Amino acid sequence: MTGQRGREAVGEDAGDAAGEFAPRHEDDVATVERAIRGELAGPLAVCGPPYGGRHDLLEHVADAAGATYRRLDPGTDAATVRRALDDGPLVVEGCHHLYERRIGGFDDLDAVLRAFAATETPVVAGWNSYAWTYLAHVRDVDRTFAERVESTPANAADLAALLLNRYDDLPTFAANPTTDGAVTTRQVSITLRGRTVSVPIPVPNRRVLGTGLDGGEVDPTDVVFERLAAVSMGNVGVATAIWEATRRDELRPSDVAPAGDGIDLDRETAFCLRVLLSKERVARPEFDRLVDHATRALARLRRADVITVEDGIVRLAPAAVPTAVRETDRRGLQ
Amino acid sequence: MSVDPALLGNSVAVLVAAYVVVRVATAVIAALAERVPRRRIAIKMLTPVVTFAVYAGAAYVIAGPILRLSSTQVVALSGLFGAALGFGLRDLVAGVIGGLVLVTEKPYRVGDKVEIREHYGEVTGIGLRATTLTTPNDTEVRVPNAAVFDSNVANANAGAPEMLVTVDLAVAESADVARATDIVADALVTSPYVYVDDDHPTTVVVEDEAYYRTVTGKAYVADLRDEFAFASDVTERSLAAFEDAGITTPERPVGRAPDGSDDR
Repeated sequence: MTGQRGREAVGEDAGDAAGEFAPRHEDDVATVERAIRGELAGPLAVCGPPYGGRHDLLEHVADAAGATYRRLDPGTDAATVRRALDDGPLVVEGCHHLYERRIGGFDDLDAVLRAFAATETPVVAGWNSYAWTYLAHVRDVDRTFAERVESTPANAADLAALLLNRYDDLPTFAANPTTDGAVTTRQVSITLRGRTVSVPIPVPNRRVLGTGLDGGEVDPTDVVFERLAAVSMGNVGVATAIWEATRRDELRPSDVAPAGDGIDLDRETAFCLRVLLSKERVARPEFDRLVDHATRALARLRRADVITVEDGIVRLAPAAVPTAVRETDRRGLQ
Repeated sequence: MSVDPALLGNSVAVLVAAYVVVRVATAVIAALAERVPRRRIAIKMLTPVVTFAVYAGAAYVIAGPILRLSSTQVVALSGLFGAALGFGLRDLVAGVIGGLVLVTEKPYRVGDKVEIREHYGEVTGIGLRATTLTTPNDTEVRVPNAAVFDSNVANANAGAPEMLVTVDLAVAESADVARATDIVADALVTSPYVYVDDDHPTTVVVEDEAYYRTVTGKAYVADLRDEFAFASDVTERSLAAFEDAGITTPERPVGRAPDGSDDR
């Protein structure tokens, strides 16, 4: 991308490309370092959302402490994790790749958790926070770990500092046009006595309301980054991806939107999306084992720029994480 | 007693307007509720409230002028109303009062899965006189609101979007029950429809029957409308896994009835 200082654009790394920009949280780093030194009563879990900088944090701390670092990918053999425990302090990222959501799909995970529970070797394990929540309920994964560190979301000021320092060619920040009101209309189909009519009903304009209407006296730059922090849920990797996708000569708060915004999903497609939200990267054949019409579901998501498929690996697009969270949460999917 | 045509016309107009407002409001509420599955039942709770409020308002507007009657007219109308109530409108009035109880006490709400008078289904409407249930076979059953006074009402979800679903699977006496239990437990928690947290746990229960064993899985679905899809999904995948694991399902022994009794 033109005008970019520093590293590669989001999405070119194996999955956590934006992680390097995550604000460092000294307490969290200190806890990880204590775990590597064996000062905790057991393994440490480090949880974070997709692209939130978990990989980068763990690799950085493992390098500094001289611990063995393993990053798990879809299909990684669980035995490699168990063997790595013999090499001294272990930092392993991507433990959410140790299970599949099918009957018998927890065997590898159970074996690794037993190994973690039994070993005297200091262990730090990185987890996708959505997978962690699910596994804590269905597999009691939290009982294996002595402590858990949850990544803290960045605020608007953090994001502004990171992104404005990163690029040379910054856009002109502008307020929302006044024609965008706080209330918009949405066509709703209503059936009365067997006849369906389309009726416009007033609904809150989320894109504008999330930005403080037309910005008023507030600096449009601040409003844009407030909006970016809200949309990305403070996830630095997601915010970076949305920034890259929406950047233009003149940027308004209402331009800041996640990929796939407004997508309408059926149940099966939404479930595929939830699995991707929990695992970030999934081998394509795994979906065939999970749902009946995987090809159709994944095609819909790809057309909406919610996922990418490359070399047999399906990847959740960083800019689509907010969409995945919203669309699957509202259905109660886990 | 003379009837003022203008008053009659206004009353009819108010009733028609109330009817239209209720229908439109009900349709809008239903459309909005379907857009937010996790809040569907809470939003649909507004339906009976709006219905009763609008009709109550209409009744007040209509009755206002009528109540400014002479004493003779009041006596005549009261007698007429009493007779109608006694002979023909008793059930209607009981239904309306039952509807008021439904709105205030909420033994069930629109969107709940309930069983009333042997009818099981989703509550799809609470009207002035009757509640409409839609059964799993897509049959609409209208149950008088007065049933709330004299019938047991079983509510499967009590206003929550989640609902407990039970799945029974039978295995042969000789089967590896521990393995079967693990399979059913996995099938429950890996279903796309399941909802699990500390307040909504999953359980698997094994029961020893006359000539087989029943493995019963219990789990919550995130959306009660997925009750049958969830049961089907868990059953289908469990049976396939049973077959892969060599777990046999029971065959009825010769001389045994389906309930295990001797039928020779």
